[in-house]
Amino acid sequence: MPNQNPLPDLEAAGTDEVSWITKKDYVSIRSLDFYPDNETKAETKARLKHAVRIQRESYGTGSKHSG
Amino acid sequence: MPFWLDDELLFRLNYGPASSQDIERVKTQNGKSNYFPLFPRNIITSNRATITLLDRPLATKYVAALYGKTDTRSMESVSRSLISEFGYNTASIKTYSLVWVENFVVYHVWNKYYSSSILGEETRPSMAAVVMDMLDMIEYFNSIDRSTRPKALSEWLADFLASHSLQSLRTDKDFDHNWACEGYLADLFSIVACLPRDEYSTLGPPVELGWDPNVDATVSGRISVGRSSTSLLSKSFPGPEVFGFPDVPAVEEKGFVSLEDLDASFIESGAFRFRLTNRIGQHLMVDSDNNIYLYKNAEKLTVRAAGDVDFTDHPLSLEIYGAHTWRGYETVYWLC
Repeated sequence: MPNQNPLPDLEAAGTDEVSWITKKDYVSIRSLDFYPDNETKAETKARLKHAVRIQRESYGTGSKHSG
Repeated sequence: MPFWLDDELLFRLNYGPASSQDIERVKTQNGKSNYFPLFPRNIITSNRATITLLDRPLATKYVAALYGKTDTRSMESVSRSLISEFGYNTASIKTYSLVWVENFVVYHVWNKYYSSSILGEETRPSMAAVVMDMLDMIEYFNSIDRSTRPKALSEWLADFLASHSLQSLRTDKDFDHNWACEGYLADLFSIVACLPRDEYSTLGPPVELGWDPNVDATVSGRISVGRSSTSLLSKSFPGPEVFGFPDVPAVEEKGFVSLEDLDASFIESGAFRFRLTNRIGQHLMVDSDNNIYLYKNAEKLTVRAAGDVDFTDHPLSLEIYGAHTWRGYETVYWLC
């Protein structure tokens, strides 16, 4: 069943708006329950939390990582 | 503070479960595109290349699978110290591959009208699930011996699907395996293979084959709808054809013809004119206006370093295959 109606050519239309996406178009994301490098769910969460905290702190200090 | 710099949101998008509101938050803000316009014109105005949703260890794995051991933030004209933990190296051509992956998940996999019978009508796989399947796909195609008899890409994809338990596919219902190969998996392949959207496009992958037949329901009338080419599916692999490059014919030697006098000035003194092209397939082709096309590598590293690059486009540069894992195939070996 090859696709006959691919994405609109927004570049040709000269717009980057996404007004054609409406709320009814949204779906939710199901759980994977599989994490990289044999991490547990808790370890993955903790790693992400730590990385984000470091990054957010750099925004506050205006460090070189704030861009 | 960027809205996306939220560990809970990043976790949900990568590993699920996430709500439709989470996806809406990523896609739009105040009714307009957020930092993820579908086709941002360049990273200075869109800031796209500095926003990263994919969990960093997975991003590193993906780039390493494609290009060998590397850091997604590393070198290539930019000191690592200048790139943040969540940053991309805008000077690196490898950034294209990551932006293509993230955009594909956000705008295709998480679109209700994209491969809905394959990925699920109401729920979709998380970003990590899709990337894990892409990693499997890279490994699978890496395992194909170069001397194997070439066959159509659709056949390879069917074998890949049959031999793997993919994380991103729905498990609650059976689905049409042919449609999965000719749509979603072909799109995945195009991203992994760094193919342009089609042979005439400057846009990057995917090749847009996985949209539901009723995708018209999602677009307004003012946006023109093109037709995706399905020619990729019948192209053979291993070989250069699947990458959009024709086989190079053997050079026929003819002793009575001297080519030494046929330099550029001699040729231009007649009816022909040289024109540059960024498509290698057009190299030395002559059109009906007597233009002879010469291939020119389109994008230079200095341009990316300056930041004036749209990472959703295709660089149309052979540099993207310079260290690509499939460079070893004759597919792209002669190109690099």
